Amino acid sequence: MSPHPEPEVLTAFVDDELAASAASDVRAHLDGCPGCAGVVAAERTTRSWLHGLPPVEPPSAFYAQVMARGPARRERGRQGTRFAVANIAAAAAVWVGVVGVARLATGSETVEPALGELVRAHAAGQVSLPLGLAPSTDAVPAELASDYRLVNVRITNGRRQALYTDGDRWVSMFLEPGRLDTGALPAGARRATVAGAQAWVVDMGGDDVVLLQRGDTVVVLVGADPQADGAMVSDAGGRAPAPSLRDRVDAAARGVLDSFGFG
Amino acid sequence: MTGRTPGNLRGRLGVERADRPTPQHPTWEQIARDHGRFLYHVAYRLTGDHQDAQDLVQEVLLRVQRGLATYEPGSLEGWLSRITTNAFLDEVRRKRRRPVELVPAVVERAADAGGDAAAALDRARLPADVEAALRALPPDFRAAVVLRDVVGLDYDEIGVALSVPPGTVRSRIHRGRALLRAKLS
Repeated sequence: MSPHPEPEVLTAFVDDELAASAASDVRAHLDGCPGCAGVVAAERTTRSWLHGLPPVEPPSAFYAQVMARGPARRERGRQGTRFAVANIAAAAAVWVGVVGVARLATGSETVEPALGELVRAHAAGQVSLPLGLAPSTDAVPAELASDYRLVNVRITNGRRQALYTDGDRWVSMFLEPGRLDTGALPAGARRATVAGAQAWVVDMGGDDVVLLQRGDTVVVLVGADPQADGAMVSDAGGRAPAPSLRDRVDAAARGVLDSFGFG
Repeated sequence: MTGRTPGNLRGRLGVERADRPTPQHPTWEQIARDHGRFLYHVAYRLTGDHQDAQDLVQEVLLRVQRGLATYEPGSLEGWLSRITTNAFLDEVRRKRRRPVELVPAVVERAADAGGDAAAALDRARLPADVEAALRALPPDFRAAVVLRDVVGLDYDEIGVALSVPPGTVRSRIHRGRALLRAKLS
């Protein structure tokens, strides 16, 4: 029997990385050497375990965040500013007021937004998100409340949906020409003032929906409200209360004015 | 050389085989958009941790963005794997500040015990156990094994990626797999 090949040569043999003549020599040796044949079998088994590892997917918002902000080294312990949906609605309201109305077909018809449909469109928008920023458009703002960047614009049932993310959370903005029919809102709708405009906030079970009238346009924002959790904690534990809606709205409005160069 | 193994990542992720040359230096946006899943998977298998994988992906994209990684037309996945592995090993060395050519004695024993080991190994392993064993490999061995058995690079490509000669590639893959077997036996 020929001399035993080095174990590393057997590894290269298993990986089909030997020249033809060397591979042929190993093959001949294996026929008469159970020990080396065992090494080869062990190598193949180990390789099969590794081949059996499933693909690992990145977290859903990871690349959207990278695309929105550009690649960056992690700042350890960073606490990003989180805006409640109402704050983002304020940014949208300011944008509609300052920039966008001329771009929209305004209308005087009464609008009864189908909130359930909008919430579903919001959830579906996150799933179907392509990896990349939406094409530049002046029909919707490129960012909201400084932290939320536009990542997708979709037309669903004839309605334009702009999807924003800050990397962790998602907000959809819908713009509809017409007058909001406040009588059609659910009983639990709360009144609020957002950027000087009358607004309504509706809790849709995990998602907040904020509706407001701006000129002849109805602005609808849908997203989870991160402030809700904090408010509950502070109620129970006697911590300092969360900033008031008005405070947050003012901050957001200042932020969006700054970011659009109107500050 | 054939190189590509049936279980290679490109096939399983539906990534087109990239043997045809890519004509020009890709942008970081192209990498994130077109090869993001591939990149993340490799980063995760190297680091064994989602947060570390995200940091590694960002570092790779930064290197591409800043032109720190010179692209030569050829296999884009091979090029990306090289940058990712280099960034990974740089980070390992930055944290440890010492050489990584440490070979635990168990590797040598496992490498010499191939015949007897074969019978004991003749059963499947849970992916979670394999992942844990892979994570526990010394980084240099882990890198070689990941590039070979997860990404599907051939020995030449791995040699380029790790900047080591062919004999070292062979040795690291052999020892890496042997250590993995030892951990899973």
